[in-house]
Amino acid sequence: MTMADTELTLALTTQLSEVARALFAAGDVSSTLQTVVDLATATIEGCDYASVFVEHPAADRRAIASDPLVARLDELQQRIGQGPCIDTLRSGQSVYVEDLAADPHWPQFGPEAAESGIRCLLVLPLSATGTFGVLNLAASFPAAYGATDRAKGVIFATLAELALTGAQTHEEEDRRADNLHQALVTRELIGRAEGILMERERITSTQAFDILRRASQHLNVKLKEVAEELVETGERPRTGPNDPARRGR
Amino acid sequence: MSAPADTVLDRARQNAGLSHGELYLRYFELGGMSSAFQVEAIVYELAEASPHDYDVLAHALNERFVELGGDHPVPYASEP
Repeated sequence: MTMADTELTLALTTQLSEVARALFAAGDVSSTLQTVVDLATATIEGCDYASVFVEHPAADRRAIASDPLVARLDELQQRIGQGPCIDTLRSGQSVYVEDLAADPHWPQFGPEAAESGIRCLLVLPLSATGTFGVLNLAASFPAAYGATDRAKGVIFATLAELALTGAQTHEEEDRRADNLHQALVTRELIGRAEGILMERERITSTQAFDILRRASQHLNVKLKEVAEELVETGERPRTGPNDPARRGR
Repeated sequence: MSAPADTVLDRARQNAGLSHGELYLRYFELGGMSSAFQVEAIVYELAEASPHDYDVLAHALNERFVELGGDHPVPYASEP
């Protein structure tokens, strides 16, 4: 290895370490996606525009682009059903297109993309656990990426993938905590409504739940709403004609 | 490992598009007192539920069916 090679390797390592730090510090999924596109254009030489999207079974598809131009490129591929991004989605493999104007693989997409100002495209899969996504690195000039840039793109995509997985896990934990908190609040409310009925009608908690449950069914609203109404107004909920607590009184 | 038994509650759970965890959370929200493990056993008919516990579970499922635009397809133990 020559001195110049060593310096280049050192510079590359330092740069990628900084990228990793920034990606992992971004926070939630949206901020991480934004950081991915911001850093892609700043880190990968020749990359003028970047876009990224991820799909997750537990969440919606989320996409972000550094420029409307590259967002339109993604829309175009979706609309006409052809393009390198679609190929990557299907195969899970990266695709490099040196010159969209000259590549015969996508007879409609290629010329239209070139017409819009994008000539070169590197599409990288992001396939973290339970997620699938794509990172598009677009350039205005043909053959914009050399072998080193493409290798850097692959490492960048791996870091982005790991950071996105972390961000998604974090969001899921937050969502789970919120759901549990909400469940506890509702449980408490229902308990209070049952308590009112038990005290007032001298019935058991099972009978009180039964009244709330029948009212929920009769009024076609959630049991939580029946309980809320009872706690707020003190009025006994209507349960329809088959109320066991009222029968035979 | 053998496949889980095909039971009324589990079929309803699957039709409602709920995981065991999601069903348990809804059951817990309605005041259910059994643990997540016990609820799963009840769903697979490996443990017997009290009529009240069964109704809480049935109602948790039925509320989900109403959200999906349906009715109350899961019968209640207290309504023979």
